[in-house]
Amino acid sequence: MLRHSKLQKQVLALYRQFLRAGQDKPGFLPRIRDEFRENSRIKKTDVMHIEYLYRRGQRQLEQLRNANTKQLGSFSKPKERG
Amino acid sequence: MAARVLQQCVRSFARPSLRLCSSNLALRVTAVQAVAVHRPLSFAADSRRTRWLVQSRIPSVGVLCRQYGDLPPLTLETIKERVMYVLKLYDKINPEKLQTSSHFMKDLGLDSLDQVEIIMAMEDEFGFEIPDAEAEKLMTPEEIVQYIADKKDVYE
Repeated sequence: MLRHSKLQKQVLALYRQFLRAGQDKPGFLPRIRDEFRENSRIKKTDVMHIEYLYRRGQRQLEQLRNANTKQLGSFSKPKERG
Repeated sequence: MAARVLQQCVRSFARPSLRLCSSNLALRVTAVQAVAVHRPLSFAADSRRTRWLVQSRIPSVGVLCRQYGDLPPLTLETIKERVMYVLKLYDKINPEKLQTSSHFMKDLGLDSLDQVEIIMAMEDEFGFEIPDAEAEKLMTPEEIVQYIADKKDVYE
């Protein structure tokens, strides 16, 4: 993957903006990383899906940058035992 | 003994404005030490007093100069050490396999998202922005060191 396509460059720029915006507010960074890593699995050819996720990401970035968001938490199910 | 310490403290100031009170101090000290070894101490006080009088000829105004604060100057070695240190702290990299020439994607098995994170860590370490177009080309620690040296005008 020597040269990135335009779309890949846009996605990477979005990732960078997310990381910068999420540095000061606790709880966002693991979620950002997981989300991007999860979506990196979809094929390069599935442009519709990628563009949809890209627009969604931009809207979420605006929400993150809003001064009113302070932190992110999540509920998780405890692992079943036995 | 304590008198000698006092004299040394007063001498360390080396200000001519103190000349008068220090000579008074010497006189007082000699008066106190009248019981103990008197002669050598008074002789010492006298010689110090004359030395202070001589020192008063020196102007009290020091050399006027401005002082600025700055970071230590960058050299290629320090840049390389800092880059390797930051890379070793990254949890997805195995520190033993890390060399200056190890490619992030081919040798270390990272992907482009990790490479973005690494470049951001370098930006935070060195305190200046790296634009995206040039950031995506930096694939080995050696290239990162070269780029930073270019930007910061460090050369040997």
